[in-house]
Amino acid sequence: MAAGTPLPDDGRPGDDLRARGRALAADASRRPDFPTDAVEGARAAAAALGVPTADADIRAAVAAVEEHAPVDPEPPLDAHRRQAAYAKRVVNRLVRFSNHHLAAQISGLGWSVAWLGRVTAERIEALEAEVTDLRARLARLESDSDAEPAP
Amino acid sequence: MTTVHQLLPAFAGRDAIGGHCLGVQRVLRDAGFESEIFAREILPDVRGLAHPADRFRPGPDTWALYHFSIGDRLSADVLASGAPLVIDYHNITPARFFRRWEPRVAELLDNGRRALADLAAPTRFALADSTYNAEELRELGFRSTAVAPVLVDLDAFAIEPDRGVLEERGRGRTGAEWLAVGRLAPNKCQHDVIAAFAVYREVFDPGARLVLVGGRSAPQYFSALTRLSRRLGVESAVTFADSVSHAALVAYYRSADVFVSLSEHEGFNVPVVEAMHVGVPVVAYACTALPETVGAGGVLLDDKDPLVVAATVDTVLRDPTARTALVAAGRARAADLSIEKTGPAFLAALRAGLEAAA
Repeated sequence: MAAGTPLPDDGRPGDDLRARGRALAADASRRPDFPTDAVEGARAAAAALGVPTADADIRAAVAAVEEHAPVDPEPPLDAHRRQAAYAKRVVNRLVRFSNHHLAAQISGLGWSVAWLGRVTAERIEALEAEVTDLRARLARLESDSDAEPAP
Repeated sequence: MTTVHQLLPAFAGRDAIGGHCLGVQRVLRDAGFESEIFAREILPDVRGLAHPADRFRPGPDTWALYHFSIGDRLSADVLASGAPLVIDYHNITPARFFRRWEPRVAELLDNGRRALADLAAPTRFALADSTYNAEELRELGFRSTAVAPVLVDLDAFAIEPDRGVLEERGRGRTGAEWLAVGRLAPNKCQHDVIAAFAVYREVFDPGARLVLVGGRSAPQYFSALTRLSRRLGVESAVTFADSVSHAALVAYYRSADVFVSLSEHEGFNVPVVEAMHVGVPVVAYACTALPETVGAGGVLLDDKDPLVVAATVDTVLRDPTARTALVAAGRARAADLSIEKTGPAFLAALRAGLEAAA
């Protein structure tokens, strides 16, 4: 997501509404009946359709692959000219069997790549957790050995 | 008599640049200029109002006002014609938005930016819709630039709205009506609008509905939007209205409670001006030229998290006093951008440029 322009409060009607909207969002999220899963789901689903950024995590990259995995074998048939639209419909009917066959294979490939990505992400996350844990243990051991009195 | 002919790759009455061309032609002719429109592709709704681009034969006192928004072979033809060149820059969407959805379009956009840079040297001077666009031109090497907003004919909204659309939107109405207008394109981020709308229904107003008006210029992205609305459980509450007639557009504005734009790239944005003019409160993400266009006429957000957007819309709709103040501010802002005010400003900028470059 591109960064929004920083907005100073200039006392315009919109400035007050922006501040109140932000406060309402914070209040709503603290309500006991707040639908956390639905809101998180909407955030994640929208993020998967945004422009991929270099700092996105591997899960976001996998979500992008999953988004593109289902290949639509039906091309858009709209055209400004009626004859062109008709020609597109005819050609589509002629090659439909071939398009569907190809789309099924490409979709399958897409899902496999997404699955590979998910498995890889899980392994990487597990390794990252292990490294974090080992670093913490090492830091503890180092501080313990520093604290031990010299023989 | 000075002649300023306008040229553009595709001329359509129902898009912002097409409407702008017609406004410019009116302003130029009223000021005593001779002015025709030439386009490589002329859509049926404006047939008879423009000439095919290959019939452009400039005389000795003819300027070419070239509307630039995408790379096209017309650039080379205009240069080859020998007419002194004025660019009216409407911005080129950065290719990164299209690369994952429409790689061919992304390539065209990249080529467009390169072609624009190539025009920096031969261009006598350039107009830009916003200071944001003017800065881009200066970065590309254009020496002489001026800001002249898109000419929006707001009087065109005084027509009778489409009855069918009004009735359809009024039927079974149980909550707020969200409206977003603009091509369905990745840079316009309609996916963020759908996500915010889904959160709004979940947290604040389960009966709300959303209409997305706009042509489908990126079929893959459009498919993803329909899947998204299904996935978020709002499929039955979201209408993809496609490109619509002007009467239908007026009806959609009249039926709307709030206009939402979460676009990440705009060189100006005509629909927010139309919404403000009609009296629909605007909630928009502050990005690129949108803060400049909206001014004090709407709520600008620096964060488009779905919950923040939904809560802001709810705040606007639940407080009648604040809503009235916002609508009044929107109308005042739209009046500043009406052709009565921007027409003379455009003409003054063009005249100053022509005199300096002559």
